[in-house]
Amino acid sequence: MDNLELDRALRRLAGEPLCMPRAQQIEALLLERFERRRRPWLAIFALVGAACLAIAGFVRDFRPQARADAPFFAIPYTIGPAPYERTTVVRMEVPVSALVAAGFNVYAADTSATVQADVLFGQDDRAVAIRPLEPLISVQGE
Amino acid sequence: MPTDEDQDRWLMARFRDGDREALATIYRTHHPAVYRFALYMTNDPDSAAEVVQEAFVWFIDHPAAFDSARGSLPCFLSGVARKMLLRRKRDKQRMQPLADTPVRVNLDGAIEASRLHAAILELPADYRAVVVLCGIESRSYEEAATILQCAIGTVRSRLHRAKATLARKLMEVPTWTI
Repeated sequence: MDNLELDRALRRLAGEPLCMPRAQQIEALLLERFERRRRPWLAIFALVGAACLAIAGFVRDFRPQARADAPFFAIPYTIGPAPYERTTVVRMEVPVSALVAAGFNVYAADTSATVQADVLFGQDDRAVAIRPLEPLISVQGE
Repeated sequence: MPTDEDQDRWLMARFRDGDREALATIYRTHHPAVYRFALYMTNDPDSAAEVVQEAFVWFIDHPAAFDSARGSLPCFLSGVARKMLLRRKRDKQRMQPLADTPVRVNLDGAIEASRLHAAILELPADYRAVVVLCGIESRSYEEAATILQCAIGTVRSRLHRAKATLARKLMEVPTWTI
């Protein structure tokens, strides 16, 4: 076998069609990587956005969910519970109009709205005091 | 009439300016040669495709690494592929000198393609690399020396010995076990 014949055979191998597996997927991956490198500010924005979301979540988690230290206001014209009496606190949506009707001086922009509040029930299941949880509404009790 | 090298230089300039179409064109134009080189070195289509991917990822991450004064773009990419092959060899020892040899198309010549392909795969990796680069891909000795990071004389001697080995193997009468 001479060298020329071998050279020709090797050259013919170069003409063989080769089909690379995943050629198009690889091209897509490369172009995506290129885009990320080309526009690093996108990655920076994504990082800043993620950081903002994380901080927002952190702040939300640590926001006081209920003002446990806030005082209850006695509902006008009711007798407060005795010291030995069992009481129950129920968190509920209370119409502002009901608070007004009960005799509270309520300063709210929308009197048809409802307000979340802790309502204190006595042993006889009657509401005796209320603690609004939303700071937008100011309740002035008796 | 612009040459291939002029075209590559123009594409590289656009690629460095952030043109994704330039990258796509470079990939489509040059990945077959890189793949062929990787395929002959690994004898595994999937591994060869991974090498191509790793080589182009490196290329994207190092856009300033290519210097047209030191060689052509296809040579540079083959050199990167060789680095990836060496890295893989070091990391995982995944080079497979002989495995199930795929049946190749007949070359309509005196030498049957499948036998030639098998004989190339039996060569030592250094010899195989010069056969693929100089024999199949028609790279010059200088280009092969750049890719393989060795002296031109080394390329010449390896190619000479590789061809002699190939000729000897192809002259052998194949035997079958029944």
